[in-house]
Amino acid sequence: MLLIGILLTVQQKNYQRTKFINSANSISGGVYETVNNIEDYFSLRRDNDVLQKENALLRSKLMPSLRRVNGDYFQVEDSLFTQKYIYRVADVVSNNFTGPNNFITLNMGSDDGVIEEMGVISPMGVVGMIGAVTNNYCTVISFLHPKTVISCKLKSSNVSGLLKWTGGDIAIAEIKDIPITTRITEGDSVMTSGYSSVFPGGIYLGKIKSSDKDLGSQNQRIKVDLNIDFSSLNKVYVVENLYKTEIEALNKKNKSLSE
Amino acid sequence: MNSLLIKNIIFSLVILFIQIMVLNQLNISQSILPLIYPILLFSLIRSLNKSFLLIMGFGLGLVLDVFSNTGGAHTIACTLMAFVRPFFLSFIGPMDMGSEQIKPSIISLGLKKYSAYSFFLLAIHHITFFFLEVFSFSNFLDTALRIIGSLVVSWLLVISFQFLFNGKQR
Repeated sequence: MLLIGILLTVQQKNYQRTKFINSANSISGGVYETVNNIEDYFSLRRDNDVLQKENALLRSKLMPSLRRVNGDYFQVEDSLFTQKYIYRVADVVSNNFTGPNNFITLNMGSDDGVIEEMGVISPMGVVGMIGAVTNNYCTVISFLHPKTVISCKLKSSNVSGLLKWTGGDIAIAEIKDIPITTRITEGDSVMTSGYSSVFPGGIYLGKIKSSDKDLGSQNQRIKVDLNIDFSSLNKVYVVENLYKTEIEALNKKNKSLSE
Repeated sequence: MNSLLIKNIIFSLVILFIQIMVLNQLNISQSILPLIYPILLFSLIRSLNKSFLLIMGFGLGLVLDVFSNTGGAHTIACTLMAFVRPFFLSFIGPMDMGSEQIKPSIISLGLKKYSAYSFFLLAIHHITFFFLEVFSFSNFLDTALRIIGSLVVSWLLVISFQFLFNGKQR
């Protein structure tokens, strides 16, 4: 029995393979959802505020709120643009953020079109990536998990790097691989880069808190103040990239060519 | 006998509900995660078959793992705890009432012995669980702090639960 336990622990450590025992199954998912339905009422006001803010932001990007700069440019419904990302709204039914490995359970599963490795975002920033999926529920490997990495870039210099949570404070994350020559300004915005096929580019993640140079590796370590508050997650968006399979097939081809 | 069984089942469900729906969701702090469900293993009768005890520990841990996405950490910690429980009980010596059928509780053992008994079992459980949860010895200090903080809170909770549920029989 101890051996079975050890087996379960080890397979859990394998990122994306958290299939066997997890809170996405119908029993624990169902229990979590029932209790969450009750808890939802207590946070309605705050959720409304968050949604309203996001609505305001989106409204500001609509056509009527844009002023035409000159007569030469206008937007038409044409074949230049097609849908690339699809967003689905999901409820958080269970959320952990104080442990060393954190998971979130959502009330959406393969029946709703959710598959593994989709991105999860909230109006406040990036939440994580889908891990295990069952028919009606899925677990999200939170950003607050040592193996989650987000491809990001700095707004002013456009330099890209990898944002990672380093444990401890849930409001702080780190970028380690920015070259020493890049000039860093405190308070600069950090956004998603859109280089990964999971998250769209330009999602605001947070702002730079401090940086220190490591002469040994010629890199700087940048501390980022995260915009997202993991303690108040309630509604999230599951992001689907419609071109993901195509991009992955391309990457695979590249790999086989270079070998 | 039958009513006792039903009582025990209800007690177990209440404890599991408190653990999974309240304590696990509280997210108090980085270094405190109270685990009170081991109390279910503490209060099994003393003469219980050892292999049955192991199976109980295994099953209990598995349920917790399913709900808290911890792989097999709860399962291993619980099975280990079930394994060492008989040694601790024999170490503590005969209970006041002399019968082997009796449950180890705050009445049958007395406050002093029960505190020691629950503290050592909880310590074994917490140390295994929290190290398996991070699965590394880096950040040793953080893990140690998490173990100590959780241990103290769980221990106080377990003792107060004992007072709560055994108060009437006194």
